Amino acid sequence: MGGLRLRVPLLSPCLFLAFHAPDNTSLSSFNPNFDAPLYIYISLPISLNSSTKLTKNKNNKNKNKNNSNKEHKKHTQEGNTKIDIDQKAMAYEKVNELNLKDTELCLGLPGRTEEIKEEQEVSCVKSNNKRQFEETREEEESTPPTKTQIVGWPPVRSSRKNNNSVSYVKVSMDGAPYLRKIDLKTYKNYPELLKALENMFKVTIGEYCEREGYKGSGFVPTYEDKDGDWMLVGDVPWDMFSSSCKRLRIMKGSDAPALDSSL
Amino acid sequence: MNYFPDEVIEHVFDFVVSHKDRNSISLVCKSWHKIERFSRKEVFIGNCYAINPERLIGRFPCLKSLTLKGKPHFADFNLVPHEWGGFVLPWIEALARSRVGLEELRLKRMVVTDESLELLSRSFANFKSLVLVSCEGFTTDGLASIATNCRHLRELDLQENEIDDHRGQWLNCFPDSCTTLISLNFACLKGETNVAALERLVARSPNLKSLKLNRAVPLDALARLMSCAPQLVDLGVGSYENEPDPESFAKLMTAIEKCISLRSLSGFLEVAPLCLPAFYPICQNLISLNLSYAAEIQGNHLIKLIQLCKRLQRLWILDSIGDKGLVVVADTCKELQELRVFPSDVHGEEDNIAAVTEVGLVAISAGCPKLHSILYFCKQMTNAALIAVAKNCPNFIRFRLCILEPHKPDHITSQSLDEGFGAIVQACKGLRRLSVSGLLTDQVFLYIGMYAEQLEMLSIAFAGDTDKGMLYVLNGCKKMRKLEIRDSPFGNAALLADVGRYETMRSLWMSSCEVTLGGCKRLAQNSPRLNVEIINENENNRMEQNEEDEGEKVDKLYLYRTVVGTRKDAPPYVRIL
Repeated sequence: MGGLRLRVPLLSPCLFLAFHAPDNTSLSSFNPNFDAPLYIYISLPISLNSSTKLTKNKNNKNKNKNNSNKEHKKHTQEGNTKIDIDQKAMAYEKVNELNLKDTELCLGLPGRTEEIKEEQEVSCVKSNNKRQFEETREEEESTPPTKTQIVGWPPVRSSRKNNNSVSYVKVSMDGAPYLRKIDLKTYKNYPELLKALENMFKVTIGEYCEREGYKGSGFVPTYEDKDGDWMLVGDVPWDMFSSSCKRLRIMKGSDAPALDSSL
Repeated sequence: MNYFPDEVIEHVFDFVVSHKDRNSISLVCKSWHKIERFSRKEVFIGNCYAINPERLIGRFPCLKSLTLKGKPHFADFNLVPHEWGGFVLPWIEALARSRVGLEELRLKRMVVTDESLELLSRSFANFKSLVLVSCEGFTTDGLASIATNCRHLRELDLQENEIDDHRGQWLNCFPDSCTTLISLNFACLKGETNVAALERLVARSPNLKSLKLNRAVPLDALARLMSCAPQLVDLGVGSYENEPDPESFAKLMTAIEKCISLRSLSGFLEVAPLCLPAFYPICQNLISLNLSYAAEIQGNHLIKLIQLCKRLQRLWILDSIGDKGLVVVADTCKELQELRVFPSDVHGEEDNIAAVTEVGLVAISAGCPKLHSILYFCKQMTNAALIAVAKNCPNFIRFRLCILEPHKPDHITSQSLDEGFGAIVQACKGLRRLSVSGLLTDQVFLYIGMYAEQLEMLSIAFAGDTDKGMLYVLNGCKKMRKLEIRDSPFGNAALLADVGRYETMRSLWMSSCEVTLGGCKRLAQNSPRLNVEIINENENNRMEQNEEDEGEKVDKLYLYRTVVGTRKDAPPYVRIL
C-alpha cells in the first residue's frame, strides 16, 4: 500500500486542489458528497484498480460479506479517495453549495445539525470472484445487519465490551489547522480536562460559571452530545458528560453567539 | 467379587479423582456402585436440568462439593434471555433439607439470589468455598450474608458476575474471628470498596494466597495490602491514578519486591502505564498474566512488561499488543501453554492499526512449542497461516479462532478457510474444543467429521452451505458433547437424521438456522429423554395451537438430555416440546 495521502483543509470554497495520479494508474470516479468533508483527501499514487465509494458511516464498515481486497481496508472517514481532475468543476460547484454539517472545521454556527447522509457504502469488489460479487450485491439490497447490529457478535462477554471502549473524542479549535484527539477517560473532572485543553492548544479558557459560561476568556469549549446537539462544556455532571460527549469544539469567544440564540 | 473389605476399596477409590473415572468405576458392578456413591465427595453437573437435586442427593448423600452449570454457553453473548432459567435456589433448599454437609459450591451461568446466598450461609456449618462464574441476580447484600455467617470460609471467588453493588459494608461483615481466608476475588464489583475493612481483613488472613481487587481500590491501598500479604501467589490489581507521586510509587515498588511468591497477575482495570514498571521485579516469576481488561495500556508498554516474563505459561491480552508484540511473546515466553487475545475494538469504530493478524498467530505457533490452548480474535486470516500453525503446533487441545467479520474469506486468495481449519483438525489429533469462523463451506465440516475424533465442543457461526455440513459433524465426531450453532443454513434434515445421537451429548444449540417448528416437534416426539426448548421472545408469535405454522423457522433451539423430564420453571416464551 503505497502512496502519500494528504489531508488538506477546505478553508474556503475557493481553495480546491486536485492532483491526478500517474497515467498508468486508473482513477476511480469520485462522487463528492459535500454534506460532510471539510477536508479533501488527495492521494498520490495509489494502486487501487477497482471502483471505490467513500463511506462515512463507520457502522457500515465491513458491511459486505465478502470483501476481498488485498490491501488493508480502512473504512473510516478518511477513505482512499482520488479526485478526478475532470470533475473539478463539478466538485467546485458542489463545494459552493456546501451543506456544512460536519464539524471538523465548522464554517457555520453550532447547533445546526443537519444529518449527514451516511448511506454511502464501500464496496470493494474483486471482479475475478463472481460468487462473492453476487452475494455482495444481494446484501446491499437487503441491508444486512452490520457488525454493531448483530446480536451477540463478536462473541465477547459484555463485561469486556464495556471495558474496551476507549473514549477518544476529536477536539477542534477554531482557527487551528488540524484536530486533536483526547481520551476522555484519562480525566476525572472538568478542571483536569480544561487544563489539558489549554495545554494542548496553548490558550486560556478560564473557569466555568453556571450563569455565564466562560465569560472573559475568549474561548468557549463546547461539545456535541449523543443526540447531536452542541452543548456548553460544564453544564452537566462529569460522568454524564464523559459518557455522552462525542466530540469537542473550542469556539473563539468573539465568534460564539449567545447560547440562547442558537438553534 | 470383592476380595477386600469395603473400606479398603473405598480407600482405593479415594485416589480416583476425575469425574469420568469415578463414573466408570460406578458402572463395574453393584457393589462398586454402592461403595462409590457413598464415598463420592465431589459431583459435577454440567447441565442443571439434566438431573434434579433430589436424585442427586439420593445417589450421593455424602457429597461435599457441588459444581453446577446453568445457561448454555451462548448466554455469555446475550443470546439467552435473562429469565430463561438456571436457578440455584431449589438446589440449595434441597441440600439444606437433607442436611448434606456441603462445603463447596461452584456455579457457572446460574441465577443466584440474595435469598439463596442467605440460605446457603445459614444451612451448612462447614461451608468453605463459594465460586460464582458468570452468574447474576444477587447483590452485595447476599455477599454480606456469606461473610457474616460462614465461619470457616476459605474461598470467595466472584468471576465476571453481574452483581448489583449496593455499596454496603459487606467487607465489614467478616467477623474478626475470620482468619481462614485463602482466596478472595471481588474484581467484578463495580462499586466502592471499604478499603479500611479490606486492609483489616487481609491483615488477619495469614493464609491468603489469592486476592483480586476491584477498580475501587487505589494505588496507595494496594501498596499497603501487598505489604500485609507478601505471601500472595495470585494478585488482581484494581485501579491506578494517572500519575502516581514518587512516594506512592516507591512504596508500591517496595511492597511488590517483597512478594516473591507472586505467580499470577491480573486486573489492571484502570491503569496508568507509568505504574507498570513497579511490577518489573516480579515478572520473572510470573506464570500467569491477564491484561485483557487493561484497555489503557498501549502495545509498547505491554511489550516491555512481557519481555521480562520468561516463565509465562498463561497469557490473556488485548489485540492492542499487535503482531509486533506477539512476536516478542513468541521470542520470550517459551513455556507458554495458553494464549487468549481479545479484541479491543469490539465495534469496529477505531481504525486499529495495531490489531493482530495471521502474522502474530503464526509467530506464536512457531515460537511456543508447548502451546495447547488458544483463543484468538483477529480481523483477517489466511489458509496458509493456519496450515503453518497446524504444522508448528500439533498439540492443540483448544483452538478457537474468531475472525471479527462474519463470512470473511482468506484475505489474500479470497478462498474460504476450509483448508486452513482442515489442516488444524488433521494435525491436532488431541483437539477437544474448536471454534471456527470466517468464510466456510460444508467442506470444513467434512474435514472436522473425518479428523476431529476427540472433539467434544464445537462452536459454529455464519458457516456452511447445506445440511450436509452439520451431518458430517454429527456422524463423524463421536465424542461430541456440546454443539452450538448460530446463523448457519442447517435445517430439519440435519436435525432429524439421527435423533438418538443427542442422548450421547450434553446439549445442542441452534439459533438463526433453518430448523422449523415442525422439525422440532418431530424431534421431541420420539425423544422422551430430551428436552427440546424453543426460545421465542417475540410476543406476537405466541399463537394458538391450531394456528401454528409448522413451517415457521425456529429462532432459538436448545435441546439437552435429561433424566427428569420437562422442567417446571421455564418462562412463558420458552416452549418445551
